[in-house]
Amino acid sequence: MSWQQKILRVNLTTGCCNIEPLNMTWANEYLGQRGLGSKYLLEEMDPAVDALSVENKLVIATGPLTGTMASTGGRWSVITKGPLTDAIACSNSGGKFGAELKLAGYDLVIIEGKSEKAVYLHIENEKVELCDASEVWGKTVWETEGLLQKKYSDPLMRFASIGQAGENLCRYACIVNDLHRAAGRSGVGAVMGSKNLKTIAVRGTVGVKNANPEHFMKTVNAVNNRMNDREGMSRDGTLDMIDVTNSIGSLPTRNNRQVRFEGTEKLNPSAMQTPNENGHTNLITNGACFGCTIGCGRICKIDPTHFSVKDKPQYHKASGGLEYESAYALGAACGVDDIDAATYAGFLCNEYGMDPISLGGSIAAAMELFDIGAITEKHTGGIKLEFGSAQALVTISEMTARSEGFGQDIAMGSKRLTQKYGHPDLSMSVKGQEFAGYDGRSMQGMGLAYATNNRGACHMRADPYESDFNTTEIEGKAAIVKNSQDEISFIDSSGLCLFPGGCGWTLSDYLELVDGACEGTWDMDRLKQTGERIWNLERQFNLLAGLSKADDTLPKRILEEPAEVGIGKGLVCRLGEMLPEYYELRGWDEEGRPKADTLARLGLN
Amino acid sequence: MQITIKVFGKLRHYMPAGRSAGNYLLNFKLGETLEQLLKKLPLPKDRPYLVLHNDNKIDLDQLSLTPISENDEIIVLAPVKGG
Repeated sequence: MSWQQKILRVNLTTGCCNIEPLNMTWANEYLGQRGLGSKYLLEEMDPAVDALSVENKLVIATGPLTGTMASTGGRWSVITKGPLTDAIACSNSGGKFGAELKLAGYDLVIIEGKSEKAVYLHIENEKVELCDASEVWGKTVWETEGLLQKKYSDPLMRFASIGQAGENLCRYACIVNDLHRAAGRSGVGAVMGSKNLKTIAVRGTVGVKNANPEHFMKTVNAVNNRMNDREGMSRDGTLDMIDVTNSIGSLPTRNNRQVRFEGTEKLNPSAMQTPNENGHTNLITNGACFGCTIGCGRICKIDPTHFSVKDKPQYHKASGGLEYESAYALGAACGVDDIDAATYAGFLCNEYGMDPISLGGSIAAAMELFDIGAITEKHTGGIKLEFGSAQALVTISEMTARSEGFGQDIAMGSKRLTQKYGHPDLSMSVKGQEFAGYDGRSMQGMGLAYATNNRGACHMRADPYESDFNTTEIEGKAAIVKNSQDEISFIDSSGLCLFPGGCGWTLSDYLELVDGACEGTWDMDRLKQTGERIWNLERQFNLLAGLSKADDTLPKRILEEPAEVGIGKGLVCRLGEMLPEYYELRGWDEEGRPKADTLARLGLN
Repeated sequence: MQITIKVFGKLRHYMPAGRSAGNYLLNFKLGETLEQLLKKLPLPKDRPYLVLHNDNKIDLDQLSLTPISENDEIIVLAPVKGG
């Protein structure tokens, strides 16, 4: 089997670090990563606790395929109660950190309590210690990784850190690993910051064992050969999407006032790959996470003559560039068509540890507040926070990263920001989490997916894409959303990435890998039931945290203001018609609560 | 006559102009349909794609019934997912 069967439990209050056996009954029911981490969280913690209190726990989870030879087997997740949403948070990352943690011998690390002083966690196989972090507290992610890398002189040591955003409890602070990969959404970095934990540094040489390595490798090779359509992702990354959503009228623009952005040609893959008037090309190369044979990551450089970095040589190096979501959020959502300004804001997100989607969404909401006069230059400290202003984007991103002035309001997230200034309808969020780069009017299934997602608005927890590109009719959308949510719950628990699913893999390929790696027999029925069990467990967490049907909704703009152009022209999201069918398919009552027989069928009662 | 057609998403990589442009100029005769025009593109036959004609989605079985004119906007997309 590919589980390590070990948990590392770290109590920051007492300073004790203990190794415990993994509950294999739960592993067989919840697989790993997202599912298993959520099970432990719900079993050990009252979901009603304050997300930033000492009672909240932080679960760092790998999956059975993390650290194996399976393509994309480098995924890991952070599960906790999210300070942005007050719901269950599960934030998924790639890079090399997760695989290193697995190779050190652990399926999960459960972090509880709160340290009196700033500390970092140092793991080298079974040697585990909490160390004084005073030399890195207050430093950026990049500085922290550099200092600790130098201290340990081990180029293979991997780090997952918070920047100043996490230390300052920015509601959408993330945990950044390997310099520019991140467990990005829902504010998991703020939970780490609230515990005075700066970094997890890990080096692992234990390896991952498999009961039948020969069979497993045959499976890995066979499945790899079925990944037949990765060229587009390698060349253009996820940014390929921006021309597609813009063409159909589903690119949220200026805080979803529009669904098409006239500046897309300055942000798309062609713009990224074509030299500008100074001969500078944004894209340097692509990058891949552990074991990945796709390589969707963008490694980019900002034009050194651009106003954002002109006098800042530290930003003249290549680093993680714009992907579709960051180009949407830091570009179209704010009406900004300056690829260097958006790339710079993205660099700040990696450096200081912020989720670019929520940063962009919060700035876009503030720009609309500014536009309607609800806030003025008096509030912003003299910044003209106008849609389309690259200068405003750059300045306010810096202020948010450093928790300065009006940046502290942006760091609250758009829900709290718009509430503070009396216009809560202007937050383009669900459960407090900002939209990804799709509009629920032209993509009706995505609207339902946003509304029902356990962690708030998100594009990675359902797969209505093909259906939504084909039709705006809502017939069948509830089933597509429900079924794909269950399937993705399973994949998110395996240690694998979702993107092979867009490059030729089918669900059967994921299943074959899990079956080859884990004990027992894994068939399609078990896969789907495991995914459904995980989804319902997360729902239980949220209901116990105080969420209800009222939180399965969308902003008024998406429900009442028709889209002006594109395939959704004249349409609003018909959520009210889809939601009852979705609840019924889920086996939930009219208030969105799982019925007793649903819970019994899934072993959740 | 000539018409500009935009090809986006993964389909772009099948086009002769390479990967750094999305706009392609095609010759056509008056009275030609969308289906006849699209046949001039070197797109794979086994890939699903989406056609937008003047901001309207055209079902694939309607391509042969849709005539084109000089200033039409035509976009061909491959559905993608994730982000």
